[in-house]
Amino acid sequence: MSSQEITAKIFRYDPEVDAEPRFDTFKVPVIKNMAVLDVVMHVQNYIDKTLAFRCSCRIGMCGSCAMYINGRPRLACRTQVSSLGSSEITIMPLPNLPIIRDLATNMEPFFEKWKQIKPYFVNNPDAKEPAVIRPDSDERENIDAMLDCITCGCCYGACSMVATNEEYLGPAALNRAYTLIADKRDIIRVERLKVVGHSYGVWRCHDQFNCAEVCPKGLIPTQSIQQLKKRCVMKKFGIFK
Amino acid sequence: MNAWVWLLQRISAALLLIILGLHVWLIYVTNPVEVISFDEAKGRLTSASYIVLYALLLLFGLFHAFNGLYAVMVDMGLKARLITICILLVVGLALLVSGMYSVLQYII
Amino acid sequence: MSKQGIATYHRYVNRSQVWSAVGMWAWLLHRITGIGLLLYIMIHVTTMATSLISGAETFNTTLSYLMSNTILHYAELLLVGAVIYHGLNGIRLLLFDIGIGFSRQKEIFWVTMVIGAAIWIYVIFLKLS
Repeated sequence: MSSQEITAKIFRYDPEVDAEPRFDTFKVPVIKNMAVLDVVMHVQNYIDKTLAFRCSCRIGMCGSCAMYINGRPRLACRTQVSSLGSSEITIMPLPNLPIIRDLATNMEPFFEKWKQIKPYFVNNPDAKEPAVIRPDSDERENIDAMLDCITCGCCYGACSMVATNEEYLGPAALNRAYTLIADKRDIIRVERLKVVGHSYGVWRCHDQFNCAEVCPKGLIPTQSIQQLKKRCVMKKFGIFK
Repeated sequence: MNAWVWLLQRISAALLLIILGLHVWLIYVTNPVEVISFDEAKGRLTSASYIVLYALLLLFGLFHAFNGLYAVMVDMGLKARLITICILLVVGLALLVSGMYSVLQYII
Repeated sequence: MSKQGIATYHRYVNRSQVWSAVGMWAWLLHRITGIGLLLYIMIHVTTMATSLISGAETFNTTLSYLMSNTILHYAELLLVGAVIYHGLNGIRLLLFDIGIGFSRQKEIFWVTMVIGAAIWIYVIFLKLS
């Protein structure tokens, strides 16, 4: 695709001033290896400096620039314009979150749920140190694939269960909870399992896989959540691994 | 509680694959007729294996369906969970009891 | 609702789901067929139970109406389709529940759809002949 410019339809909304959201259309010249982040940067720099959006590292590791681009949540810095297969780009803020302004969403609800599962390792003070799970052991392998979360919120924005149920913990929090519950050295594993085992925890996941579909790190939260469900059931039978 | 209900939903799903499959098979594949007559139905309902089949079908089918509906409602943000469970239980049990009675009526 | 709340709702109504994902459709259709089958079960159990309890005459009249009505005769194909879809996708979900298939979930979906379509077309063929 070698068009000289693309058309960007960008969602604009300032809750302080606007009664309703609207879309502003901008024509942006295409540069080599252009990412969607370059598009919004160009708009802000040269056309409309009031456009609000978040970004930081621009290399897909901070998770700040998650937006709903051409029909799915993506990282703006990691989405090549050429990969969208169209010269018309529609950019909206991440779904399922309140809007601060334009493309910047309020991540509070996401991190509130993140906090609920106590996203930090709690060591056993009586354990013989160093308490090690070798990197090449089977136990460590369990969580290897789930560790790379950058809390971008793409999964949270994609999940239909998050969309319809305000209290559902969501894929990111549950994925993190699993990496900790699966770690035998952590001493609050059982309490954590109770937190994820309540009605708005793991049981609201119905294997939609939208989270896995959009995760920029290739995580599959659905799988973590299934492992948690398994542990919740096994606990009822008196087995907790 | 959630864990038990989740497990039962899966167990009933697996069992229904077989029981429902049998039900359809027996009605439509073996001795298919234009219209099922009362005599044919009554004949089935005096056979122990048919009665057991229908009883299990009613039990697991109604549970799976109503529990499924409840799950969908909670997903959609249902807050009045207790009253909803009561209503679903009443309707479900009404269907279960009337269904069971119609199936057991010739042997009780 | 707060202003932020209204904007969130507006977006949800307009554009926020991932319609290009296979899993999204699998989930949605499973729900739709589930609710459809629930409604059918309620009608079916009520009809059959009352017919059986009412005795031979009511039973025969009701059944002969239901089983010879043309619209119902063909509408039954929708029921069959719903059962096939819900059952086969249900098997796919059961696979996930026992921990397998997560990295191949789309492929498994298409396999179940091919099998389902084959069965459904066969039943349609039987019914039309």
